[in-house]
Amino acid sequence: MSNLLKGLVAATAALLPLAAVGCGPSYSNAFSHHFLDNQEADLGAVLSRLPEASQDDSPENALDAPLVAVATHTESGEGRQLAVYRVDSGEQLWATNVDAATQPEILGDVVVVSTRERLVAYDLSGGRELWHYDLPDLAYVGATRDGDTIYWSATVGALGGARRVGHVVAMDARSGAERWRHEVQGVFGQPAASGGLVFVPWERQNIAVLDEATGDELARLRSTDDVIAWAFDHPTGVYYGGRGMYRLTHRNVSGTRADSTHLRPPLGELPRQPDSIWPDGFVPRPGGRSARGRIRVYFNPAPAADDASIQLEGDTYYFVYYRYVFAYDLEGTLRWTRHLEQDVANAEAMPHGLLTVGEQGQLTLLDRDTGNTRWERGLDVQIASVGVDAAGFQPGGEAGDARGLRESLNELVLDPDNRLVAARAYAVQLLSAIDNEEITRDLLDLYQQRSMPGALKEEIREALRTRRSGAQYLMAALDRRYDYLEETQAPPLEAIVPALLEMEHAEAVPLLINHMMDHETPAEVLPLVVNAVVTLGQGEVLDALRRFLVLYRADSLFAGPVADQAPAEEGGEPVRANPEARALAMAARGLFEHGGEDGRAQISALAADTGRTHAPVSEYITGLYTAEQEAAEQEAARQERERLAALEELRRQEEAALPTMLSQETINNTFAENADAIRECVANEMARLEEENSDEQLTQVRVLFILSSDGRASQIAVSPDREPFSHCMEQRVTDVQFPRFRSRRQRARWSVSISGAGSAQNGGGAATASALPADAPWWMLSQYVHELQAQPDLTASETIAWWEERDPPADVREVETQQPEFECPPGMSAAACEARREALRRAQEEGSGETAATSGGTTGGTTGGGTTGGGTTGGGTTGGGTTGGGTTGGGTTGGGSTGSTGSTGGTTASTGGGSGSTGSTGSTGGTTGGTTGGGTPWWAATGGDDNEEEEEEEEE
Amino acid sequence: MTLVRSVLSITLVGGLWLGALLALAAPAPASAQRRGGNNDAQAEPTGPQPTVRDIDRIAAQLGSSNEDEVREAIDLLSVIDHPRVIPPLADLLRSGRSDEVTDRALTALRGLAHPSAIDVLVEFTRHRRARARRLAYQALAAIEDRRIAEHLEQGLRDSDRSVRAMAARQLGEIGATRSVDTLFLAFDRGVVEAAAAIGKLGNRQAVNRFNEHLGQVPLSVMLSGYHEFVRRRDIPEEAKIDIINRLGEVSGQMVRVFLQRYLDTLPTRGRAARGRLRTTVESTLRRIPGHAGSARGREVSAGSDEAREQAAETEE
Repeated sequence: MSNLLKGLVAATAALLPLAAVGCGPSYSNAFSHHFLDNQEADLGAVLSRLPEASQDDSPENALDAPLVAVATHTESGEGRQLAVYRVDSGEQLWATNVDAATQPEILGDVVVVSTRERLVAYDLSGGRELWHYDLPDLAYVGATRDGDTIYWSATVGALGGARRVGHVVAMDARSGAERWRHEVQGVFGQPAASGGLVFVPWERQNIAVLDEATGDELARLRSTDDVIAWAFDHPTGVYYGGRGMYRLTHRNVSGTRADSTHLRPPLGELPRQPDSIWPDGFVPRPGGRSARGRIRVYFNPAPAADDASIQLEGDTYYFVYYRYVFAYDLEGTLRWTRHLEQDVANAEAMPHGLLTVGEQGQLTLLDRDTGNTRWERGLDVQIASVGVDAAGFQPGGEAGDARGLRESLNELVLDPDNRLVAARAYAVQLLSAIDNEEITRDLLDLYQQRSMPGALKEEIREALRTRRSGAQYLMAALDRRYDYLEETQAPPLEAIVPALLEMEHAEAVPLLINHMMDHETPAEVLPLVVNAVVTLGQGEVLDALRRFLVLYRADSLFAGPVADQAPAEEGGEPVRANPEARALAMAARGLFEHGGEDGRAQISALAADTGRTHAPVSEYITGLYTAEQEAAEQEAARQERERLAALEELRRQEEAALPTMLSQETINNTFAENADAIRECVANEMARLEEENSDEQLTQVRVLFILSSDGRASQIAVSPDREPFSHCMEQRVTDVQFPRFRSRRQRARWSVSISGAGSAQNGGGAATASALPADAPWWMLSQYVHELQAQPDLTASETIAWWEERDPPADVREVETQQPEFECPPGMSAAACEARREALRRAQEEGSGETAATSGGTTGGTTGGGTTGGGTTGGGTTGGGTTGGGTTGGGTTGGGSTGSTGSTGGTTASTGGGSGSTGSTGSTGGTTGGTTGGGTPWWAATGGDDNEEEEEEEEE
Repeated sequence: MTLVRSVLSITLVGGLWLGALLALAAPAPASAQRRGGNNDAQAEPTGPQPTVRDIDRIAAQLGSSNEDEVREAIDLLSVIDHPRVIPPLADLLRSGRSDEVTDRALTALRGLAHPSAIDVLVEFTRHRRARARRLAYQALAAIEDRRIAEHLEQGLRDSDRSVRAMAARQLGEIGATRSVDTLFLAFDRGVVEAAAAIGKLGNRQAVNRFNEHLGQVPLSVMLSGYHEFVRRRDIPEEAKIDIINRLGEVSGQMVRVFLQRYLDTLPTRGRAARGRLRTTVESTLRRIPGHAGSARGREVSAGSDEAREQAAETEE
């Protein structure tokens, strides 16, 4: 919608060429709320009408002479006059009786001033009243002139209130004939006029640009992030702003500070910070003597090089505070200061400096660079308010030598005018910012001036605290002692001690101790001194602190509370601490904190001596211990919280790191760690079978169960399901703590082949499964094992239970293992079969170095991919040691680790899993010679596999 | 009150020291009396006095938590004129006691007037409580030691008026003639008690210097100095006559009373009775209005300027 409207406006402007110059705005009335603000086309048209920027080098008045228009001051307020003087000669051109309510304004050939009831214009040449205009209920705020027309505004409610009305009026300058006027609900500021355009600040947010001839609004600027408090025209352009300054350029259509041609003077925090760097255009400038207008920033624009910048004449800001003048460069660095004899009623920044008009009529031109007086002249008049039009006034004079800032600021601070304490405090801040160690001495000297007001002393004290150099001057002062005869005052400890503390100047400790022990040290600063001794001192202060504490602990001067106390009852007076008692408490604190065991023992003894030591001091000492204990408890609690948090974090991380489910390898390992318990069940069962001469044999145990995420097993099914064996197993498995995992539960199984008594102990030759090629089909292993079983026993082995760990026999010998002849399966070509046999032979030869042969049994133990399989078992039964994928683990190597062998008395079972270290145990007796991988014990059974299909395949 | 305390102490301690306790306010030992010491806080001893052999036992009593026992022990120690008494009293002072105990101990040291107490007394001239400082200066002044005047001069630099006054008086008491310049400085700074001290210590030149203050400081202050000057035999008669003449110029009731009393001290027989000094005093007195022998002697009418002036002088 907005774009459409803009388009229409643009089209209108294009079709009606005159529209941009005032003949065809869409809204004949100005200040409409429907008027579009910040329109580029509107602003462009306005800018095209402004004259070229030029140097401000001549007065604007018709006499072309530097003038001041003065509203005089009388003590009674009676007989006040309006007078016009030439600046250069001091000549009074004319004077007339008028009680000016606002500051006189020189506008071309007229002087305008308002009384309480009317606006009056006087002829500049002779002072004749040209016209007047009644102002019922309106406050005149200011005027400007362009050509033969005067534009002025008056308002009600500029400073608040329910009624807010603004008038802006165009009048013929000489006749006072009204040309147009606007009256709106809102407030206007003093207008500016240039190039046939009137710029009216409106509602502190807008600049309405009116056509001088018709009063119609041509453009409007609205600040979206700033307050517009004033506007003025100048040969270099049109300016407006608030705390900052805008120059009207095409950039300002943005309505934002950042994108406009804007300058914020970097003057920092000025005393009684003016709300605006230029007089507020919405508020009348007072015609009488007033604090308003005595505190002001002055500057004079200069032609700018481009649209983005604002230049100042002489690159200087001036800040006037009554009689004081501060000059800054563009970076806000203080250039000089002056204090004048008279309060400055008004001033004008000029190329060579600042022309000031004093309240007693003193005209002074201060040099821009040095602040020295280049020229001065006295007018015999008491000034209430004054309008200055002296552009281009160059009376000559010398700049002189610049005075040192240090000197001039010191003078300012020492100036006895107590109206100006705020500015003197500002001077203290400026002084303390100078990087010169002697400033510390200056500040100290200033502080000790008897006439220095309390507020300033406070400011100086704070300034001293900011100093980081000049400690020697503080020390010199600290070395002083009160002496009645010599009329020597005690050093200002309240200023010196905090500064030394800030400087961490430990060299001051001996002197501080002197003051601590000196009765001339005022009671109110005694706590400060003791605190400094405690803070800056080390072990050397303990004796002094102890002496001080002991000496005065029972003295009546030191009785009373050591800290401020709340009123005993509501509405009562708070009980103030006795500073001397407070000092004692601080000394006790020093001993407590720095005195070690001895110090603590001493103050504990003092605290316990309640008959002598003042009760508040005793209680304070007791409180030190309590506070320390509480602090320790809090610290412990904090550490505990941190520890718990760390644990929680660790638990969270561990939780996150848990496997989703347990692998079979993990389950096998867990069973391995709990072998003893399970072995007992097995042993008992085997014993029972043997005892009962049962035909049944325990060759394999299988366990199926459900694992919970907490690592506990449940719903355990044991095979063979024979009591009491199954019951025993269930109990044992229930007791096993498996690793935790993230899933809620998982099915798990575990199986082990048992080479029980006498069964399958006669393992075959000590061949190894590793003799098989890596890609040998599964059935090759079965065949191979079968052949091994058929071979005679190579070692005389006795029957050893499967769970027993055994050392290899002492006479174990390397046994030449006879590689069984590979029997070619049906369908294999002869060449292929021979190649296979050759491969098997080669593999055996290569693996023999790492393979421990055993005297019987078959080889189990596999490695694959760098991981070593678990143990192997004999017993003639093959566990689930084969792997899917048609490959068995064999004695192949992978990943640089060597497969190892274990021989079993019977069947080989190989397991995957384990880590990639080399197992290398040999076993004897044809029983199991397990290989270990990753620490898997010899008996570690052939685990079931997660892959049920595989399991079922094996079973088949 | 002292008696009540003594009785209480007797009750508490009993036994051997009953008689000695009655002597708590014993007169200052010989040395203290010699230096003008006056232990006003202690009672007159009436029983057997403690001896050096009792010091350790009495000193142990100083550590009592019972203030009465401590006071008793101080008093007992104060009557033992022996240097060994000083350390326990010094320790007591440094151990931080109530004002009463501290002041009593300082008073005891004043009575003992032993140089070994100088250190602790000097410490207490910097005590934060002015009364303790005054007592310390008093105790120092009782000690015969060449360093004492110097310490007392420090008292003139004290911020407390009463301490300065005490120091000035004591300087005069101990005859610290080398301190006259310092006393003049104090006098210039308003330590009025220095006037009497100067009167006691100053020589002929000091009289002239003192005379310069006449009219600058209250007459009563000047008279306190003149009083000391004119009663001294080592001051030449010429100087005294000069004083009399100057006072005659000042005139007034106060001067008249002063001179009359001074006249009363002068011999009335022999050569001195006919000497210049007496003659000068008498003639000066006659010149003072209101004096019975005055040529202008008359009743001053009430409410007259002269009467008011005399009244003002009297008040002054």
